[in-house]
Amino acid sequence: MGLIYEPRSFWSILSVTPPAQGGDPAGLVATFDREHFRNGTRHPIVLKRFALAAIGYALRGNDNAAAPNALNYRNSAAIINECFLHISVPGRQEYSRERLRLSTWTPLPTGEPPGPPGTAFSGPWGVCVMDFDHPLVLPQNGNLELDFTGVIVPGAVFNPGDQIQPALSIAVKEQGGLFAGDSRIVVRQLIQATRGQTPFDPEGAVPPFDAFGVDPNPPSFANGIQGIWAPQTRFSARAFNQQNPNRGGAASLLGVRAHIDQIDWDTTFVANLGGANLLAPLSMKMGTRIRTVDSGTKMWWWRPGAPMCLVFDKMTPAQVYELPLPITLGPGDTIELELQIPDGALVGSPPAFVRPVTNIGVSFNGFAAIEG
Amino acid sequence: MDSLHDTIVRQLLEQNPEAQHEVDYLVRLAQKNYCDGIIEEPRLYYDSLPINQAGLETRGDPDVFINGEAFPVRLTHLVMAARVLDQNGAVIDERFVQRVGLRLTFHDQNYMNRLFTPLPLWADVPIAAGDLVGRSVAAWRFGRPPILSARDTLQVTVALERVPAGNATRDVTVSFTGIGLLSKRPYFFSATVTLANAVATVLDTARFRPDGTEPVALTDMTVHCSALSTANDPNGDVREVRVQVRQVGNGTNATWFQGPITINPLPQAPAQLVGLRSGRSIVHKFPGDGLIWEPGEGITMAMQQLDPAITSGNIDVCIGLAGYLSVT
Repeated sequence: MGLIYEPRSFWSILSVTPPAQGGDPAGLVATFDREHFRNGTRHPIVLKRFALAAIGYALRGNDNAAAPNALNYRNSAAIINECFLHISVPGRQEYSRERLRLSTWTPLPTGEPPGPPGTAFSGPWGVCVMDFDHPLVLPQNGNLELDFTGVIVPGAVFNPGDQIQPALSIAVKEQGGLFAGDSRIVVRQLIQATRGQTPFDPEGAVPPFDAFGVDPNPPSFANGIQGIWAPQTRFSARAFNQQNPNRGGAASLLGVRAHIDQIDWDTTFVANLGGANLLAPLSMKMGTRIRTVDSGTKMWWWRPGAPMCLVFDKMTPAQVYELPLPITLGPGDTIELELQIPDGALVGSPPAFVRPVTNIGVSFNGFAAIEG
Repeated sequence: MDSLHDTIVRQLLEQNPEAQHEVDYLVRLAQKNYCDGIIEEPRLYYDSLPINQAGLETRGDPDVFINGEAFPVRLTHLVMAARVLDQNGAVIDERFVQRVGLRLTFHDQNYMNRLFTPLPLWADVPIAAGDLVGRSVAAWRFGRPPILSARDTLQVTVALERVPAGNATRDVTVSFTGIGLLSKRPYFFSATVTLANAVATVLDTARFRPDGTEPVALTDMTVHCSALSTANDPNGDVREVRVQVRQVGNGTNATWFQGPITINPLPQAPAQLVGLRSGRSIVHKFPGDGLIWEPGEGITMAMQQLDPAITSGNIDVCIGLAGYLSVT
């Protein structure tokens, strides 16, 4: 009897609306839902890295030349530079005495290279990569099932009829064959896009389609949307099995990659919005869920809906920190995370006190060791 | 008393913490090869594929991706990027590599899938350098360091992809980093040339000659292409240059980068393909220890336009298989 390993992540998103000027400064500190990080399974889970990203933003940087106002003042994914985090295991251990600035958790090199100079596009490749810490061994009839959500289209930026349709491709890498590997793939499936109400979600009221900033517990059926897991962006167990190159035995899976073609989205966004705003990759808005089927634990590897950039942590726009030594969460254990958001500032003319809404996601990534 | 060879082998086997350091490991490996009379040289097999806009497969030159030498080659990485100019001579938006699919075939086995896999899904090696230099530099840390013997040098040829407009020029720099096998001191070899046209130019070979005291294990190679001399923005673009390297003296004396020589000759490799460690190309590491090419073996490359709307123009994609040749 040996161990089998399955990837696992614990994730949460904290959406904080800061207090108004003169409000309680304690409102600048908030705690992530502790239950989102609780190991509710029977297996020990080893966490090796954590990922940090501002989730749900349409922009990753704002136009400095534009006059600051409540809408554009630091309302982008770059707000992560202004936040602080404290990690502890309740009743046992604190990992620091102070809250640390997020960007000072030493980032691993996980990014894409820069695009051409002067461009505001989200990136040259639009790819996210997850490598498993241990090969995931599936028996002959075992399969994977992968789901991805759609995205919210910022309604005030895009016009009806704009050609912006992003497309998703997925590859699951496995061992075997002359090349010592191959991949099972889904190519260029259109991502379901739903119009939102404001230019830069998660500000204001947006349909809880990708759930970030409004409802951290997808799926939601508000606004007539029939669930968040669109069929066209599903890599079903049936399709996965059809591409099995090894009918005679077990498969050893090594990782998952996802590519989002948002070239048209970026091009139209830049043309319609103007200015020097920098666009965010859609992987910072799209949710995922993955599990084994007909083998393994059949449990979702993380609470469904995790932003792709947080759990696909080898190549990602998120900031990834590798723990010097892994944290092992036994059954029932949890982690406590405390987030400090930035204070506001007087901006505009006449000056108005503005505090940016902050939407930060955190995930702890590793694997479960399961006695088979 | 142990010989130098025995000492090195023992240290390798003991896996002591010092030997696990990457560069130190490479140097010890080079020393071992030196003692055993094994020559290992980098190899990059490259081609430039004009993607067919009608959705038909585009196949490369059949002479390129084949081991035409008498020694085995181990391929470790696949690297690809958009050329700087498309089939009509216009500058390519490099994001359009997202809409091209690739399939490799080796002894009738397809990789990664029998379907064409979009190029970004091949990326599994993070290679982004700092934002300030990431566009202008391509660097390769050799998996197996070649030995530059005491009286050897390197013949490095560079050429621009297009003639700079007006009176502008571009500076092209190629550098190698190495470590002395006896002294363990670092060596830096580098030469720069100012180019005003697209004629292939050999860099000063004296710049790549060691001082003659000891053999040098070359660990890294870097190519840099500056901005146009008339441009305000000093951001360079490594896609503007092609490069070729050959060791003169010991080694095989063959060119390290081997590309098409018959249908559409491309005597120097697009420099972005050198960016296996840092640069702006999609880099894929083959599983495990890579793929062995015995003499005469080859791979068939095929690409296809995946965008039914064909908005990506007449894109050219350069692609390379990188590894090393072993002469035993």
